[in-house]
Amino acid sequence: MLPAQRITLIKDILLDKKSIDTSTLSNYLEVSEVTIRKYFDQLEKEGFLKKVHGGAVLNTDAPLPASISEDDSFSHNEVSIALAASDLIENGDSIFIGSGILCYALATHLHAKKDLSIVTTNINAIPHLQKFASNVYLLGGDVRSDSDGFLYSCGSNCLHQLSRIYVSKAFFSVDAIDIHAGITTNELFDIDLLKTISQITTQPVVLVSSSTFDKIALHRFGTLQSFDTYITDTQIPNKYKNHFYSNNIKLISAYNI
Amino acid sequence: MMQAKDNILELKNLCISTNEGFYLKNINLHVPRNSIFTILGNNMSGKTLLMKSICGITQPDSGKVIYNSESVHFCSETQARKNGIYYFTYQPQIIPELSVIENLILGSEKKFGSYIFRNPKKAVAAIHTIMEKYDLSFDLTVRAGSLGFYQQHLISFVRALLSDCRLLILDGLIAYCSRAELISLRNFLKKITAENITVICLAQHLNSLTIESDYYYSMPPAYETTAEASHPVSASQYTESLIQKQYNQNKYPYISMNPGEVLLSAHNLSPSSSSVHMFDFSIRESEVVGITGNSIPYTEHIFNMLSGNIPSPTGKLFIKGCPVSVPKNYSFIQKNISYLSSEPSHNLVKSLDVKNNIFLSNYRPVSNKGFLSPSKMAALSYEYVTLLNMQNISFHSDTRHLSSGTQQKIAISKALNAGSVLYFFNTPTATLDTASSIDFYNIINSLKRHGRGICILSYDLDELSGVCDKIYVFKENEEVRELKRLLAY
Repeated sequence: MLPAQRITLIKDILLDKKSIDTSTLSNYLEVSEVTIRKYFDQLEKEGFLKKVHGGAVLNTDAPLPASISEDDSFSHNEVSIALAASDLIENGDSIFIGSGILCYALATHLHAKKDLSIVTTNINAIPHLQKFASNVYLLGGDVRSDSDGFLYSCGSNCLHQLSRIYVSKAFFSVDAIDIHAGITTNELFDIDLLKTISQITTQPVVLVSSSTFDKIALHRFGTLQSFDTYITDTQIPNKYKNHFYSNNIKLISAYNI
Repeated sequence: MMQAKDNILELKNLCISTNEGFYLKNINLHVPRNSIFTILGNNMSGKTLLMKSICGITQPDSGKVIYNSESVHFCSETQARKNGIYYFTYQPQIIPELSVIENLILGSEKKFGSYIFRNPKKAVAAIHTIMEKYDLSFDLTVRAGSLGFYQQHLISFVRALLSDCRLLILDGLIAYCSRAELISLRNFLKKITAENITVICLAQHLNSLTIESDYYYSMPPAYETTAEASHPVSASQYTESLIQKQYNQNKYPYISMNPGEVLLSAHNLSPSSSSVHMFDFSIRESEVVGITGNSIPYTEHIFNMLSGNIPSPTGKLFIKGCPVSVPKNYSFIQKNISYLSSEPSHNLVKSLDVKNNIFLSNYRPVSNKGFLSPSKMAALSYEYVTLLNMQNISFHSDTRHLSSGTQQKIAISKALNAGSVLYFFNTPTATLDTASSIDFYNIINSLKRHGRGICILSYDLDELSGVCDKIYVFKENEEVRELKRLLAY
């Protein structure tokens, strides 16, 4: 696997176990201890861990959730999805960006576009968007944090504001996708959000990673045909490719060659 | 325009409904005599229902069916047959236990003698005349069930021809034919229409057979009524409208990108020394160009000319503005142009394993002071495998054991490893299943993003209009047509 993937794995292990030694990691990842120590150096510079004799410990002085570090180490798949989504955006577009890590990744890859007007609920994305886009609107409401630690706004006030705008493209994620159950969400609020999104744009685009497939959550929004464009990474099961093709749904699997 | 006399069949305001609640309302169309007429429509759009109501299998609710300038109403399929209308589904209409000749005479016994005293000589003579006329050959004595699917269909066609059919309706057969069978069927149908017989084909999309149709009719969207008569559209008009409309194309993951500089251009190329039609061709960075046509050998010849395999009698090829001589094929390779055929055996060495195949094109990334580094080869080939999402790969076995989709992906890895800027794909998805084809289209998108140029030869117009930025259509004895994609996405 690529170095970036190995680093993400090391971070996950440390968050879980709080400390790890070099030899276990080198066996697990099948790389030499020298390589592991190099990764430790890099992570120590970032402030994530502290090197000790024989291994490393999690740095508890500045506890940041792993995903939100200045150094934005997205996984290869997340970058591919963000790039594919940004291909669909043209200069001068007005777009909606939803919550979650994939929408955040998209927001960090918009620097090449000009004259964008962006409406978003993704609070983490604001510093990046504000640097590059002309007009940025943050929808206001209750602030929540999702499972990756990303902050977003939600609530009826938020929906009310959303329903009063119109964008040319909307990019958003969903919690679970299943061939039979369709699109399902963990929060009841998301059902209303998805409904509103489909009303405020002609081009809704769903950004999901392959881990979202073959999962069913509690609240049902509708069938997979509710949206006609999905962007995901390359590891989705083949049955979905066949299903999307025969139902005339555009499936963009982001390869990043 | 069309005179009423020239239409073998006219439908006026035909309304049909089924017990399940499906209905067709106000269908108006006319089928010109002695033509191949294709009715196109998605699944469940009512094509079969329409045909069944013409040939007496179901009854329309209202409206007129005008056959040979007379308003008709067929109560049964037999009655329609007596009038020369034959309806064929994808099941061959033969009796497998009887021999071929018994199948052929079935139903027309009276013509060849009486029911009891059959005159076989007369029948055999008539059958031989037909077989010669249409260039067919069967062994008349074998059991009909022992023949192949396509052969069985041909027998049922010959049986119809023996009984003076005037209108042949093919429903569903086309979807089950292989490419070779489609071509053979196409030639057969062309010969039939020369003998004062009209053919109606029902299909979901254009393929090597339906692209040869003289006229097309699109089924209207389900449950929508249309009062105006729809004139059948000619072949070239239909091809154009297919590209312009986003007809059913959402399933292809097309992303529009800004094309860059011209990678390859051709000026005044001509297909053969006898052809008068010369054409220009260009392909730019981040552009996908499609090549298609009605005749496979002709179109392949042109594709080989463009990809530098065969010289052209006239005209010149330019790579990034510099003229290049053909067929010095390695000059193309030096300039980083890759050619991939649909046959994986032409792209890979099947006795070698994955990593050796990938680095056949370029050993520089894995060489270390003149020696090959096995660890680098392993690592880099692992990267390609994950990059292109190849599943169930065993690195140690030969590539001959892998699926065709995976073999194609390895061929693509090989071309990527060479750092090619321009790719020529010869019918790339012919041997791929749907999921691998979709992977392939997405890989093309990624190549586009990195500024590569891609040229695809394909006979599946559906696929080309879903994936390409522009398409060149080559038909023998006709001007080359260049169709551009409407950028209003």
